[in-house]
Amino acid sequence: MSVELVELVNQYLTPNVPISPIAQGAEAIVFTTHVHPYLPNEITKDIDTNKKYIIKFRPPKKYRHPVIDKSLTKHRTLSEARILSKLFQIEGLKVPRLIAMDAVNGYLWMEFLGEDLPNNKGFSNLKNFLWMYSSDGRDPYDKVVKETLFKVGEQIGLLHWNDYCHGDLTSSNIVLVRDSNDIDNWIPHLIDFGLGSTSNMVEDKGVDLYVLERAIISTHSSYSDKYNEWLVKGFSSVYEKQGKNGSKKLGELLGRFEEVRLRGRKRSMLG
Amino acid sequence: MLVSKLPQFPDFTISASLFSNIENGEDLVKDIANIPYSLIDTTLICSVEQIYSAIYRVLVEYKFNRIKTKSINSELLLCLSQNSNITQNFKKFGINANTKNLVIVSILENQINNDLNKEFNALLKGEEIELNNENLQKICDMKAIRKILTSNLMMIQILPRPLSMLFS
Ligand SMILES: Nc1ncnc2c1ncn2[C@@H]1O[C@H](COP(=O)(O)O)[C@@H](O)[C@H]1O
Repeated sequence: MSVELVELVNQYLTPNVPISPIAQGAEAIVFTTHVHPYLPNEITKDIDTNKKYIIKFRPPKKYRHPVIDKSLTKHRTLSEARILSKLFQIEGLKVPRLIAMDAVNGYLWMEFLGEDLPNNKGFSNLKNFLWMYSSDGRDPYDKVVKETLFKVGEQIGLLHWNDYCHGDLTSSNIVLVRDSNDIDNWIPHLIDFGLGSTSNMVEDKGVDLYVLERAIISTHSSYSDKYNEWLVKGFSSVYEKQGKNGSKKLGELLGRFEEVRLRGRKRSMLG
Repeated sequence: MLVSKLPQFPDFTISASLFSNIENGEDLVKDIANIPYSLIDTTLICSVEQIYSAIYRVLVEYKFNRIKTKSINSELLLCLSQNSNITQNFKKFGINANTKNLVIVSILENQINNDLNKEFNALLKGEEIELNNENLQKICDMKAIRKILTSNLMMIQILPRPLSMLFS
């Protein structure tokens, strides 16, 4: 990460908000901090001890005209906030809670989700979680894995049933939050709606499913058949609960998923 | 009185108090143009998060953009919802002659006023109670809040978890 960018963020946040960078993508840099942006200590001390927050920053792009750049940053930040806010209101759907926003400067604050997996297995996203179960002599087909993937499928089902698409559904963008009362209960949360949108198009939904399937095949190829089967089972369960209309939509969607898959295969054969 | 600073805006001192059983609502409304604080009717306020996230928005606008109303005090009323209609927000969150409960907020830049608590108590004929979620929830109108919250970006999310669950 460039020193210049970190300096820009530090200047904006002031030394009162110490940050640690955790990720840099094409669009945004992500930091964590222990400082709440606005709640007085008297208020946070009871409810929020040791809380961590995420600061997601969309830096200016030098190759864009400054005026266009400002307006794009503002729109994208607002759009991500808006979609998170809508999704948060959908019953059963798990996304990070937004805390604060400065759209003009490209900053979003949200709650930090997840934890470090035991034995240095990394952050608790779906990708690392599956790695963990395929190493150290553990059973990659463990009941916990099956249940977790089913729940991931349910989350995507809920998202799609409500006509939202993720746009970048990789196994790193699914964070598992451990239930504090049951260590084997991992509750999947969907993050990074930077490319999210409302959409009722089967194509967009089919592509979401395809992207996740590819991600799992590429990182966990030996077990991917079963893993993807469990995901689709969880996904389908959401639609099947919706009666006839749900089953009809599910049929169309899985049909398109298959088409997208075939197109992908052709493309890779053509090289 | 709750006195604090927002980490990103160390030059500003925020002081806020909650008053109940206000008796001089009518006089306050008449004199509102001369009162150098924000007065927020708590009918639509069920948590301190609502107040402080709005203060954060005010300071962001003030420092990096420009505020859309006359002063920081009036801007706070505007920032209590994502709706940008100034008249509507003043009506919703500002006080009226019948206001019984209110939050009073002072935002001072590069100044310290050690008499604020006295000033608040001299201005408001009522009873000061601790500004916290428990007290706000006793005096707010949950039904009315439910109506405005679902249409407001971020308003539900910023509430502490047990509260936000009431609405989702
Ligand atoms: N709410 C969150 N809680 C925990 N980690 C997050 C959160 N948001 C983003 N991250 C981390 O930051 C990375 C990049 O974020 P993003 O740019 O939103 O994809 C993610 O892959 C996560 O590792």
